[in-house]
Amino acid sequence: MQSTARVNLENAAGLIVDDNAQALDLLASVLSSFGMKDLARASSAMEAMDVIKSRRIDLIMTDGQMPVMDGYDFVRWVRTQPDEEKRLTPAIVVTAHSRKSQVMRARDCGANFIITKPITPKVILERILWVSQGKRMFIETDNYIGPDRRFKQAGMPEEFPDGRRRDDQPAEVGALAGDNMSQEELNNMIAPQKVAL
Amino acid sequence: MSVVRKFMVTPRLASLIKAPGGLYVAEALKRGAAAVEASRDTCLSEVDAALEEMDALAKTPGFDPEAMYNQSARLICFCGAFSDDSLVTAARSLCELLDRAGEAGRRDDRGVKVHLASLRLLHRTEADDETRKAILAGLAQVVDRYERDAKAEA
Repeated sequence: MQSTARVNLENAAGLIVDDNAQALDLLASVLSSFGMKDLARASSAMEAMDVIKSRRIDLIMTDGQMPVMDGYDFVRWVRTQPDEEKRLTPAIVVTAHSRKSQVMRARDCGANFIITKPITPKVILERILWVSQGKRMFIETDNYIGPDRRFKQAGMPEEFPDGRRRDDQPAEVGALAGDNMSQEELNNMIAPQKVAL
Repeated sequence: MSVVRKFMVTPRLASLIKAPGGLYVAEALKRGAAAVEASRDTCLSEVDAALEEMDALAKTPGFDPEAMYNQSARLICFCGAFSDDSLVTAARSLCELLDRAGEAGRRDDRGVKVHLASLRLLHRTEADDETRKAILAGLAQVVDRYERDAKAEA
């Protein structure tokens, strides 16, 4: 994450879901501090489902553990929506602790990321930047709908096939400027020499 | 035979985030840190409230481990404003203990009480780094007991 890169969330619509009002406030204040103005809040997965049905959302951040319907089932529900734009909405689950019995459910719910609480602005921004990268593979099967988790083998993003970003320095910057020094010249550089005091 | 559909996706967020304007990442992070700092008092109150609830639960014979787990998870949520992460490590350890005990079909009230005492020692005290490390190492041993027992049974 380059500190000189720009991030514009002014026109992005976010949805945050948490059954704890203070946790919801904390997450909202961090996202607002990043410039996100359009932020819908929901205190349960059911409320969040109504929001998803009624309007456009560009980013979902949901708590993992909630009563009645948890964040994993909510994301799974989002991934089964008939409207493709809704179905593909980037979704990040935030959880305090992953129960052993929930690890597989968390893995298979179709979230782009699962991050651990307590939230830190750095981790949240990193993940937002990641999910808002250009084209990424999405997979739909009988038992999994979500982003391709095998992104480590995905290679370079399609927009930068040579592996260089637009704001990278040109390759020439690191190129050799002249001939290599001879071994004798190198030896002379490190040889002990008398110093006139 | 199941059908696998693979396709490339460009989320709307990708174009929105690159639109002219917005903030430098460094500025966004600075504002984010300020927002977390501004909620420090709320976070402290939430941690205090969670600890009180946990103490009250522990005093009830046959307390509900699920309620204890939820309060420990609540505590974890609000530790972001503190520079020291020993409290969150101890709270995670308690969640882990309750989860493993539940998986093994047991109760571990003594382990829970050790955790609660440790959380009290780590929160709002001047305990030095060495003390904090020693407390966390002790808690790790309490939780690891379940793995040792499982290995011994296997």
